[in-house]
Amino acid sequence: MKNRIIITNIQRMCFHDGPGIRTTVFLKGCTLRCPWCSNPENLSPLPEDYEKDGIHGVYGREYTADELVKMVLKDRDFWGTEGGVTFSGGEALMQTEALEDVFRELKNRGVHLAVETALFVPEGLLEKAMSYIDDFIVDVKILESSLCREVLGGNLELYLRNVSRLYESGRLKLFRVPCCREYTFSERNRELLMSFFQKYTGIPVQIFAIHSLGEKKYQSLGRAMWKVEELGWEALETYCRELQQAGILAEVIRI
Amino acid sequence: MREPAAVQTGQPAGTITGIIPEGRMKMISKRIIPDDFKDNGIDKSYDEVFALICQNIRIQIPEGRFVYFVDAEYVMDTTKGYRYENLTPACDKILHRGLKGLKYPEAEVANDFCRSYNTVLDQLIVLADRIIEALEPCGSRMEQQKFWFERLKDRPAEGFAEAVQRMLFINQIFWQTDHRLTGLGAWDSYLLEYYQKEIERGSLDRKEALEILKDLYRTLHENYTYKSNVMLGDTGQIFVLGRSNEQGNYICSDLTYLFIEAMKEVQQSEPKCLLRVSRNTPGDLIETALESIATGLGAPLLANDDVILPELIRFGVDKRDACGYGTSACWEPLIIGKSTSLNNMTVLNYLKALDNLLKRERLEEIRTFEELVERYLVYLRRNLRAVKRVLSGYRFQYNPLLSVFTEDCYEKKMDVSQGGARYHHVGITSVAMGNLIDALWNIREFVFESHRGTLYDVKKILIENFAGREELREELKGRASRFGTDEEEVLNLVNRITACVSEEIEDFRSYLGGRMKIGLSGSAYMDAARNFGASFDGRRAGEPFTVHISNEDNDGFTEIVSFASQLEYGSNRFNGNVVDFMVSPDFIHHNWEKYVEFLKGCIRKGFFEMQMNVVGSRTLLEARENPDKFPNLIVRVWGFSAYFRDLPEEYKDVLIERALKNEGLA
Repeated sequence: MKNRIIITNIQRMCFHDGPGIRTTVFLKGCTLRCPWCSNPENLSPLPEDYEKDGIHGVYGREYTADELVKMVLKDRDFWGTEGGVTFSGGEALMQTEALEDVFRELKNRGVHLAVETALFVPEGLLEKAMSYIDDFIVDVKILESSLCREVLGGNLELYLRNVSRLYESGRLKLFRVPCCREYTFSERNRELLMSFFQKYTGIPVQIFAIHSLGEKKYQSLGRAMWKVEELGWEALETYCRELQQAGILAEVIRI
Repeated sequence: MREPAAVQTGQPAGTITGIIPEGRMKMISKRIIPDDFKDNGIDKSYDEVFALICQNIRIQIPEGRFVYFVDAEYVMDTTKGYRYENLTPACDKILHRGLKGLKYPEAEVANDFCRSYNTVLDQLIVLADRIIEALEPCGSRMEQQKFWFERLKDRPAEGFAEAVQRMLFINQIFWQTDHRLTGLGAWDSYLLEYYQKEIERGSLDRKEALEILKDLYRTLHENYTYKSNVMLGDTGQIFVLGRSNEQGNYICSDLTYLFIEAMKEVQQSEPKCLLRVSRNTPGDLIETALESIATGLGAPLLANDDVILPELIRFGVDKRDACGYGTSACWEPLIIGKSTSLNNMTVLNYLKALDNLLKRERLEEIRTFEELVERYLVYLRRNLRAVKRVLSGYRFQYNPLLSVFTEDCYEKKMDVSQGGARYHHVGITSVAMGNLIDALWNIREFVFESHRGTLYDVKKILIENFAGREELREELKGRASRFGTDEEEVLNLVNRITACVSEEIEDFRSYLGGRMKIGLSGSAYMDAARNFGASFDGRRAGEPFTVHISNEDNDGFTEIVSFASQLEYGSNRFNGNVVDFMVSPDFIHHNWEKYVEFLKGCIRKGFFEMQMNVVGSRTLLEARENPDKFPNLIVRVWGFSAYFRDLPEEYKDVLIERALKNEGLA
C-alpha cells in the first residue's frame, strides 16, 4: 500500500495555497462529510467513474512517489524562493504514509512544502507529516462537539488536540473558515470561532462563503448537491470586522 | 508633371487627416503611381524617383513638437520585384554625423552604387531645405525645429529632442519610399548619451523627457491607416528596449523605463515596445513592463536574451552583433541596422503534409503510429523542398536608401540587393503545429489504439468535413489539447518534427548566400486556414488554426511556458517562437506580486518570447456588440497591438473563444 498515492488533480500556478507560486496536489479521500463540500470527487479514497457531457472518465489516478515527484517538479523554476508544493484534498494527511517518500524527496531538494488540511486525522499521521511539512493551512468548521460529529462525522476533541500540537510547533500558518449560514456561520458557532481564534493569537484567518461551483462534479457522479445558500459579501465583511476588532488578523477572500 | 508642392500647416499631432482617407488596404488594390515616376511609360531609375520624392512631397507642418509627415499620394512604387520590408534600418547613423557626413568623398565614388548612395543623401538635404523653408512662416514657434533641420545637414545632433527629430526624419523617408513594416530599433540606447548630457547640464528633466517621448509615440501613431499592412495596426513599428551585453550583463537605463511609461500613458495601439529580458533584468523593470501590459496594451512583448542570444551566436552571428538584435515587426529576431534578412518570406503549414499524406499515400501500408509519423516527415520534406525552390529564385530590388542606413554597405560599396549588408538570411514562419499534434494524437487513438476506424476512414471523414460525424468531431474537439502540455511524448514529437525541418532547410542558400530560418510563430493562422480542409483535431474546414504557442486547456500558464522552454530552437529554429496567452485583468491585479514572480519564473524557465492579451471575455463580448462604447479597447493580435473595433469579425471571434476557454467558461 505504501506507494499507492491517489490523486484527482495537480493544479499548477496556484496563488492562494501558501506562500509564493505553488503546485497544489489534490489527494483523494476525506475523513469528513461536510454537506457543503465543493470537491465531491475527493471524498471516497478510491477511484470513481463519472460521466460528464456524455464523456466517461475516472476521478482519481494512482501515482508512484517517483511519478508524483517528477510531475510536481515541472514547475520548480517558477517557485522562486517562496513557492513550492501544497498538498490538499480531500484530506491530504490521510495519505501521509504513502506520501512520505514524496515529502522526503522534495524536502531533500529544498522544496517548501505546505498542507491544507481539516486536521481530523490520527495524531500519528500528523506527527509524521510534521517532520517534513513547513506550513499548515488548517480549516476551521463546526466547533461544537456533538454537531461536529453529527454533521461532519468528525471527532472535535481529536481536531483540537491536533491544532494545539501544530500551534506549539510553530508550523500552523493560517486558518480558513468556509462560511455556511446553517452551520459554521451560525450565531453560536461564530461565538465559538471567536474564542477559538483568540486562543491562537497571531495566526491569520481567512473567511470565505461556500459556493455552488462543485455542482457539475456532483452531477457527473450522479449525486445531488446540498442546496447552497450563498452568504453575501456584506455579512462576511461585518463578521470579519468583528474578528479584527477582537485583535484577530482576519480577511475575507473569494474562492 | 506634378503641381508645385503645397505646404499644409496646422496639422495637429495625433490625427490622420491629410493621409489617404480610403486606407492602406484600398490603396494596395488601387495603387496610385504618380505619372512623374515614368518616362513615356517606362519606369525612371531609382535615383530619379528618389529625387522626385524629396523635391515634390507635400510638406506638412504640425502644431506639435516634431516635424513628421508622409505624403501617401506620392509614394515610391515597389510593386515590381521583391521588395525589402519588415526591416529595421540603422536610423541612429544620422545622430553622430549630418547627412553630408555620411556621403562618400568624391575621390571614393567608385561605382554606380556610390553615386546612388550620394544622390540619396543629396536629395535628403534638398528635402531638409524644403522643410526649413516651410518652417519659415511659422516664425518663432518653429525656430527650434528650423535649427534642428539646419544642423541635420552637416552637424552631429546635440540635444535629446533634436536626436529624436533626426531619427523621425529618417523613419518618415522610409515610409515615403514604401518600406512596409519599418521597425524603429533600440532608441533607449541610441538616445541615452543625449539624455544624460542634457540631464547633467540641467537643460532637461525626467518629466520633460517623458513628455517628449509621449509626443514621439503620438507622432508615430499618425498615419496609422497608411502604415498598416494587411490589417489595421500591423505597422511593424516597434521600439526594442533593454539588452544584454557581450559579458552577459543586463543593460537598461532610465530611458528604458521612460519608453515603457510613455507608451502606457499615451494608450494608443502603436507604436509598441519589445522588452528584451534576461535573468539579470531588474525586478522593477519587469514590474514597469507588467504595469503597461496589465492596462491591456499587450505590450511590451518579452524576448528572452538567455535563450535567443546563444541561438543567434550558434547560427553564426557575431556575438557583438547578436547583442544588438531586435525583431522583424513581430517576433523574428533580426540584427538591427546590419541585416537585410527577410524573415517572413513564406508560411509553412504543418497540416499540409498530413493532408498530402492522407490524399496520396497507400494508407493500408501504414500499420503503426510510428510509420505514420515517418511518412508524415517524408511529405513535410517534400513541401519544404518546394519552398526552397521558390525562395532561392527571389531577387531583391535595388535600394540605396536602405543601403545608406545599413552597416557595411558603405565599406563594401555595395547595395543591399547585391549583398552589401552583413547578414542577409531569409526566414519563414509556420502555422498549425498545434493542430497537427492534436490531429496526430487523435489519429493514434482512433486508428492504432482503439481501432475505431482506419486511416481511410479518417481521410473520408476529413474530406466530408465531418458530415454525419458531428458527434465524433465534438469528441475530438472536446479533448484537452496536447500541444502545449509539457509531457515528454508531446515534446519529443514536436522537437522531432522541427528537427526534420531544420535538417531539410539547412542546405538552402539565397542568391546572396543567406541561410534559412524557421519559427513556430506565424500570423497566417487565419488566412492559411480559410481555404484549408478539416483536420482530425476536430477543426472544421476553414476554421482558424491554433495561435502561435498557445493552449487554452492548460491548468495554469506555467505549463505552456514550461512546454515552450523545452522546445529546441537550435540550428535554424529561432525565427520567432512566441508563447501567447490570454489573461484577465482581474487575475493580474488581484495577484500582482505573485504575477511579477511568475514572470521572473518564466524567464528563468527559458521561454523564447512571450506576449499576453490582458482582457476579459465579458469586455470582448460587450465590445463586439457595442463597438462604439469601446473605441479604444486594444488587444494583441499576431505580434502587434490593435484596436479591437478595427479587427475583422473572425479575429474578434478567435479572441473571444480563447478568453472564454481561459476563464473556464467554454
